Amino acid sequence: MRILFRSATICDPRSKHHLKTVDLLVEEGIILEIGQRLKAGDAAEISSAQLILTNGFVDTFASFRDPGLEYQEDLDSGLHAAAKGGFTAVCVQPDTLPVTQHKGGISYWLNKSKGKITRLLPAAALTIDLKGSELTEMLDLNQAGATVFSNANHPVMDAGTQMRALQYIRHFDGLMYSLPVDLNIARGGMVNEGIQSTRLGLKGIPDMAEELMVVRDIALVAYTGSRLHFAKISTSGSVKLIRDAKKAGLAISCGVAAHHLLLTDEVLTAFDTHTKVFPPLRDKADQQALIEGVKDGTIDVICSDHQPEDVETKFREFDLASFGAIGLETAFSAALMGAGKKVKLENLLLTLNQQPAALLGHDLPVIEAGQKAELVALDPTLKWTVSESEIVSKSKNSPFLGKELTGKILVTLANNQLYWNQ
Amino acid sequence: MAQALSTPHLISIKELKTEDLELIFSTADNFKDVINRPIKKVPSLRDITIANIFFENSTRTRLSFELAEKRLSADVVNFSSSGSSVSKGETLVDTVKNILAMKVDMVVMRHSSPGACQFLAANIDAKVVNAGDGAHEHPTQALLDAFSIREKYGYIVGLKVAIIGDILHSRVAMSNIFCLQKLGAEVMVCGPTTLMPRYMAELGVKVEHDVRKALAWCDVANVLRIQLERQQTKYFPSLREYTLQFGINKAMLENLDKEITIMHPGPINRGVEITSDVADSGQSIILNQVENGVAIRMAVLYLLADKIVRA
Repeated sequence: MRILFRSATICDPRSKHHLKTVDLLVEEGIILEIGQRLKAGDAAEISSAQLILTNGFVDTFASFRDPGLEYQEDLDSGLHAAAKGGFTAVCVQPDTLPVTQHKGGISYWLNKSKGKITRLLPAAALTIDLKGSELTEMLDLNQAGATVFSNANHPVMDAGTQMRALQYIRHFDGLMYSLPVDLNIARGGMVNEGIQSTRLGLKGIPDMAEELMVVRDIALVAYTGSRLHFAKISTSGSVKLIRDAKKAGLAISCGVAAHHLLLTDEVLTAFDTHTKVFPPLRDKADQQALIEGVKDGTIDVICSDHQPEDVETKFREFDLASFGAIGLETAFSAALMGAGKKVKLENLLLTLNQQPAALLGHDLPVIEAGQKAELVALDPTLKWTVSESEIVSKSKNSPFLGKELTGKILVTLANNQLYWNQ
Repeated sequence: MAQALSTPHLISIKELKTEDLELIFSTADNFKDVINRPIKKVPSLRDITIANIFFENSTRTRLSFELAEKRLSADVVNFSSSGSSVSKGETLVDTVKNILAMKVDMVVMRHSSPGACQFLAANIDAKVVNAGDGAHEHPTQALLDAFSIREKYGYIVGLKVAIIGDILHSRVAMSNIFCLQKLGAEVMVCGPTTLMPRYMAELGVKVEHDVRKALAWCDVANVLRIQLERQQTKYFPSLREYTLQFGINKAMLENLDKEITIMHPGPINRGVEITSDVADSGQSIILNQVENGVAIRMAVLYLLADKIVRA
């Protein structure tokens, strides 16, 4: 398989071709040549009005429903959606049925995803059945290939458990996720607490519910000296707290879901259950603070927060509908449209590829001749419309259904395989 | 004046224009005459079928709608289910499909989920009237409340209306606020701090926690029912304490330097949020509200039926 990218601007600060516009030829999964006016020969040629070639995207937070609810998403369809969205690696969350908390579950994931274009990076459960009380066999799981320990969308309410997890994970310098939401305050809440929730009669989740837990976890990291990643933050207060904690030298990182950069709770007026996500969409000031956090490096990664839900759980009353939206196929566009005006494209791309790769220990090859090709080709000026029939995820719960987005993934290339998004 | 409503359904007061409110009131004026005649019935909706679908308990709202429908000569079917919370979701989706199949022209629905009526309206052809959806809105209650105030004073602009009680769980409070603001009244909400949404003041209302001060400020006090059934958490220590601190009694009214009007959307917890001698006093227009409820609902149904394309 030979592919020629014609007049592509390279975005990879580690490469000598960074920000240069070149032709790039890939053969059998290896970058064969980078130069000007390369001869195409029998290679498939890829070009676009403004072609950008960068390292494959790495997602830190996606849930597939395999094993368990495969009709919502299985490994094949989830990884397919990831490839379409430009992701060459995805950290899959353990909120499966049963919960992925034994080495058998990790092996199942790794075996079933072998040979795919997108690599699966397993996140094992932090606590048994995600209940937040007893730790899983973390050493055993780590040896079986678990990269990350996460309680997925279930915050660990017990500070003692969280502390012991942080201590225990130091055995292998592991990475632990936290989803900071105080459930005693948030319970029953569906949306951001604010003027919108008041007008719509929907029970709100105050931003303080998140910030309380950020404060708690920062204190726990300071005490234990461990590494902690806040999987998805949503409030301006969290950005500020984490910015200060990083300045103080704590090993803290954080992510934001791409949809939080583009959408606010103003969209809730339609009671569209696809906009019911966890943590909830916040207000304009929070959105701006999150974008600022991406810009100044407080926020390390932008994730898809891919949560497949089918019509049975979404086509119903707002308060009875499940939380979550799919995000793998739209993450880049949402991030670009949300933060693209304030954050330079080459920096925005780092939050989608090199920074999450570094966090998860995923090796992203440099864009140089002779290196493995793990690339995504995109055009930030192309517009496309999200339609149900073109979503490759088994679930169609996108808040962007029918909407026109800017910024399109054209080709994803990894593991000597190609996804061409025509 | 406008001749038709600007919306295809009646889901929230928020979406109505002031002209819509005036049109509903003037139409209700006519229907109030009708229901006080010896023959209390008109044939306006004789070709219309209306389903009253109540997923939450209701006595007076359902009765009031049914009466309004019958006074307009509509065919009426009733469905009520206080069923288990587990099956609620499935029931609504199935209800949608059933209504589609039964060729009902209008649906009056009460449901515990905010936005449920919007969900229904987006998925069926019939006209939808919201009879209360969770803590979102209860538009006909707000309309009949404003209509009753207008009837008593002859105007609404500039009047001070205090809404007193559980504001957090109250669709009546929300619809009343939006309605009264559109009509030019000043609105205050008053209740215990734990039953007051945090962002209330941003709706442009005064927020008060001392019921005596609220009574001293207002011309009209709309006292809400304490909805014990809607509280998953204990928001105040006991009913006794609520009555002592927030209940309204005759002595409190006699201490005021003016005579205020007392309203209540019903059903009253006598001796809890309001004592019997207040509820039954000359200052109370609680029973006028009930009578006006029928006229307002006739007006709403009549105006929405106008939007149905008839063969």
